[in-house]
Amino acid sequence: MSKTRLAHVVLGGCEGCYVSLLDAHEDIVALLESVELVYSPLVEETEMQKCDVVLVEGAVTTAHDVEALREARQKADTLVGVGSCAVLGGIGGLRNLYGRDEVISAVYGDEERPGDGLPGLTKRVRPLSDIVKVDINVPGCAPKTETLLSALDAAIAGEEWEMPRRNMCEECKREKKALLQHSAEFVSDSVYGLMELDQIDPERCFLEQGLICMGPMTREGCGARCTEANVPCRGCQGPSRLDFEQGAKMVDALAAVLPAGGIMYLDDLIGTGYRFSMPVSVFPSVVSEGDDEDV
Amino acid sequence: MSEVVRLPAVKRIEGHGHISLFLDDNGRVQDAHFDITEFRGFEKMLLGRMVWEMPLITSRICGVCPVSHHVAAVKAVDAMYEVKIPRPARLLREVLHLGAFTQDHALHFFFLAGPDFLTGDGKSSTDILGVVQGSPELALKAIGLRKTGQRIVELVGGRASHPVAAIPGGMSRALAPEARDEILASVREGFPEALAAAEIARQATRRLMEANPTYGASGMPMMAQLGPEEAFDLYEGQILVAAPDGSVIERFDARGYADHIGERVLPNSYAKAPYLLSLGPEKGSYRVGPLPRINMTASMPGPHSSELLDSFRSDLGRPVNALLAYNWARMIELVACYERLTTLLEDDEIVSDDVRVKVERGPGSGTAAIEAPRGTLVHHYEADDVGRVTKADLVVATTHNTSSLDGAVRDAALGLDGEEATDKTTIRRMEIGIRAHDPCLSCATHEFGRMPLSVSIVNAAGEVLDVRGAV
Repeated sequence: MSKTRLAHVVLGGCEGCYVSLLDAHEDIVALLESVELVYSPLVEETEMQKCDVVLVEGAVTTAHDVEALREARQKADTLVGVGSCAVLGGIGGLRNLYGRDEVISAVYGDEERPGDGLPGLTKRVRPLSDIVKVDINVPGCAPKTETLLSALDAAIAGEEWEMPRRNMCEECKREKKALLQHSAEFVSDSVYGLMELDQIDPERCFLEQGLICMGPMTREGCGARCTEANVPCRGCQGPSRLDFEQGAKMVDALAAVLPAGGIMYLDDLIGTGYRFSMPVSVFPSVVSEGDDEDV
Repeated sequence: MSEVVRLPAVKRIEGHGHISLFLDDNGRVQDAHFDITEFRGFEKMLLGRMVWEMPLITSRICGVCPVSHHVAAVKAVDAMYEVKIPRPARLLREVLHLGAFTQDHALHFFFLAGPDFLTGDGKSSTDILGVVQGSPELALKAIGLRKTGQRIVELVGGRASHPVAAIPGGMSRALAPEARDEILASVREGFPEALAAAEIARQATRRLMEANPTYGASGMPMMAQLGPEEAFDLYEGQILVAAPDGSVIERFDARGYADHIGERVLPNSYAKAPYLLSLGPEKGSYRVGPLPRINMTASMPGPHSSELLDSFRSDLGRPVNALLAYNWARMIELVACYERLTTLLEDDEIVSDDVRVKVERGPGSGTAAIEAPRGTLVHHYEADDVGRVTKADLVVATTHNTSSLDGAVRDAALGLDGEEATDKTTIRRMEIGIRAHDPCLSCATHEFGRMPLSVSIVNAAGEVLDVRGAV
């Protein structure tokens, strides 16, 4: 049997997903021996090749991304969207809060603009599935190495691969007490930033400590490493079901727990609730007047 | 100006980039640029976010060096609230930073730049596959060094990718004694590998420089943040600028960066080009990263790296301006990181529970700099009464090197005609010069994003004649 032809394409993102793949360490050697790596940021080949499986990381942010993604789809039998940028639009999707011109002005000022010869920006940051059919979605920022490898194994074997379905709290070892009891009181008197706590209790649910934790609105599968490290979840795996609104569900879930005014004024609803899933939310994207046709 | 040549995508760099060659009326290359083709707009996206979330959000600028942004951001928020963190937290943050540094340097040296000179026997392919298949023992060295570094990031930072544990006021949790023992053991065990890597780099650099004696050798000002008495310090210190002859011409704290560094917009790149305000946009370009650090530092953190620094200087002089020496400088830093990691981890305070102080939200302005693997990284934030970000400014290592990257391309192509400038040998030389900087386009394009190397040829009328290579 001939070796699986594998390609790896990077669109608008940070390349953290390929680093997560490299974090397989010694297993990378076996992987590279078991497949034929025909195109990747790490190899010399400069043209996308016909292949069995392509891993695509990053979101669609420029005209070049749209082209590269269509080419990848056309040349690969199985397309795997790797990481929250590919699956949900990811953190770069916060750009959708502003018109394209507004963002460019913020970076370069109004006088000078980077010009011709550069790929144009898309009006909105978009997930892969907005443009092409995606066979396997692997969310996470970045996905855990083992998760990536299991999805890759499935793609190579021609099998289906499903994302886990429950929410992150199922993996988190922290204890909930007040949240499970009927009460007319909020569990916390205010909404805090982690740095504002006198003590960070390593055993107790963060919501009960007055912090926004995205665990209840976020897909499991990350291993709850952040809450284990004493830092609340920020939702990098996206909503536990793709038809959930991650940020709206946050407000819904927290209204019973934390004082609503506190959430409104003392935290950042959008940047916390939709940090990784803005492009797949119903939250309207801002398109500034005068924006040219989309690329 | 007559023609522009666009060359094929440069691979084995972190991101997507592009080379443009500008031809004169006689069809010869008269100018050349290395352009960055992606845009993300982080500085705008950060507005309205809570300032204590910056270490968690800005780490996503780069998957290769998330720790640099994580730590620079947390230091900037500490500076905003005038927090003095407990000493154990200071030790842990530096361990986190150095762990990430070692994995990053190993990744670049062996898997990205290394194939240019480690496996250049003509038999194996000059990429990661060539390293893995042609020199499995080298691949295992690289993997071992990366694994140690990533394990440190995971144990101290909570995750290997986009770590979370550095928070304003200190760290979110203490380091468990077992974790300290594990890290210290792996650092001690890996030390001979770091030394071996430095020796490989020394030999490879000499070969490369003998083969390309005049390439990329012209000097430009250099910048690095150094510790007290100009000691090698990747975590904190003062920013120094040296002239090409090595004399220090500027010295400032990170908070004064805006008085010293300006940025200009480039016509063909999503990256902006920083310059020294004192010298102006034309002459004020400078270089950052391992080579400037090794040139400017007065002392290293341990005996082995000191010895390596001496031999670097006795071989090549001081300062060294040749781009190709970056690779050797990088591996001397790897050894320095191992020595410093050993010192930090042997300090018993590293496992103390006293890892944070409480920080109150409020308005303010804060700036901090660290030395990231690719050079000086500055984060600056301003916040309102409830701690929402009202201004964010990030000056990242790869953008400091914009002019030096241009120089790497220009030096290989100047005066050649369009054909010569795009033949394999010339492109190869440009790529080696570009890769020597270890440019990270995800970072350079925090504003932007990545860089595949492609080349375009532009004629004197400004028309693009040809575009070659992957986009």
